[in-house]
Amino acid sequence: MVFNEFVMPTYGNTMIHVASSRELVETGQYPFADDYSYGGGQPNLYVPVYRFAYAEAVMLTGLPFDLVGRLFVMLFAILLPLGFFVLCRELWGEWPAAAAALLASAVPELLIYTVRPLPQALGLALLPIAFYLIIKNNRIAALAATALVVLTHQEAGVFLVGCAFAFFALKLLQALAAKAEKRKLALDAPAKLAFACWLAGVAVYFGWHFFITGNLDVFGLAQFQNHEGGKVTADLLATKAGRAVLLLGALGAVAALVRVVRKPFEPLNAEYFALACAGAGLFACFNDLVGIGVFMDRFIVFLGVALIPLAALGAKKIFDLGEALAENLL
Amino acid sequence: MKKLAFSLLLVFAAAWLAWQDVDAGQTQARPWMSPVVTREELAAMDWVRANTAPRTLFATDIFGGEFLMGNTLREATVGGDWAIIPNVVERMRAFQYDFYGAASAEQAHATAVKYGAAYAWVPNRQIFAGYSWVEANRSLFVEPYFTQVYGSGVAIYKVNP
Repeated sequence: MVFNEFVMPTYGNTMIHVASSRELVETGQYPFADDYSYGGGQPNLYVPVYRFAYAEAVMLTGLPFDLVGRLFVMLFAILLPLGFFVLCRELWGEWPAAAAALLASAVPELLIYTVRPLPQALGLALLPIAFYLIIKNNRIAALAATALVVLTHQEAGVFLVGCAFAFFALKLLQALAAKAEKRKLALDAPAKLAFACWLAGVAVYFGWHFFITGNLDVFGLAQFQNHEGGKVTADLLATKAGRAVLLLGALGAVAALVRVVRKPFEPLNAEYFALACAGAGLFACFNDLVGIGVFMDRFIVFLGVALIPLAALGAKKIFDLGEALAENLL
Repeated sequence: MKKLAFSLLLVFAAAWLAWQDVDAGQTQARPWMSPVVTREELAAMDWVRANTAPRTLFATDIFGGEFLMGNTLREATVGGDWAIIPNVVERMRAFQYDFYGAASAEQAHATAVKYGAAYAWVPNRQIFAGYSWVEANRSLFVEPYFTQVYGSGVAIYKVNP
């Protein structure tokens, strides 16, 4: 797919990123103040990390932009399952981690957004790594990864800080519930780090927005004003997220919920984190229900990212269930 | 051994379902891999670089515009990131209906002049400026409003003052 056509794909505004990267390569200057879009003359608001990486790769290799774009896609294809493997090994162990790496190929929307040379593809590949660093409580690396994701792709950044905040909020609720029951359960380090990542991610994006535009009017963007994006239906969700990941993810979510309910005062960071990500993904996909109405269908791919760890847990539960059934029936 | 076989059966069932999704993913992704632009447009990039200055503004559709930006560092009337562009919807409507879909050469010219375009980009494919896919109508690009300066597959016209 990646090398079939005479030029790289143009769907998804791939070439506007090439323009900024090309200017950096050819002139040594990045067009911060003058974007090429829609007649030019406007500040270049799109976050720049992917474009910097693109320019860097072209300068280092001397290869043409078109070829580097296609090679980037191959790199994302390697990074993505590796990221899910590393994350899910930390969450559930090696067997589910292998399942997660395979399931990363079973979300159609994830393929659509990683098979083209786009900032979103890099953002998606970085997300599981950032999640791993948070859950592993690797403070400096997690904060750096958060900033990197936010400055690579806005939606990926929104999803990351949403997941981090949801995880922190769940853990805070758990700690408060424990306190009400007069049990000792302090807010642990990954939860505090998640809060710090949320704060850092929000600060970095608003800092970038202010640096480029001189204001903080995020909701004034055309995407918000014109309510870009379509409504998410059950059919669309099944088509875009994939039936296997949805079914296994639902099974994994039930398994995680059961564990959380049965052991309300255990830390259970893996379960809380996976459920928080799924919650953030669902909220983003159905944000029209709370009156936001922006990018709902565009967030299906991020819900897919959230469901893969749960689906890996679901796959493990199926294996366990098979063993238990076999023990009783055979 | 039986336990393992039963478990594996369930796992294979899940894997089969996942494989269907992998296949569906490839089918869904394939249309997004289309370059949209033509080989003639790629060939025209050399002329653009040789005969126009960086940041020269072309009247284009979205795909032609972005292809020009990325390959030549020229600007386009539509295409790119629309996040903070003033009156961006009006701009797209103008190039969809009052330029490529204009009722007359005079109207197409007036639209190009209003938005400051120095050249018009008229490819040999369907164009899309934000609303619908339509064939570019070459009969609009005539003297005294436009002067053809390049090509047959893709035609480039100078927008006359």
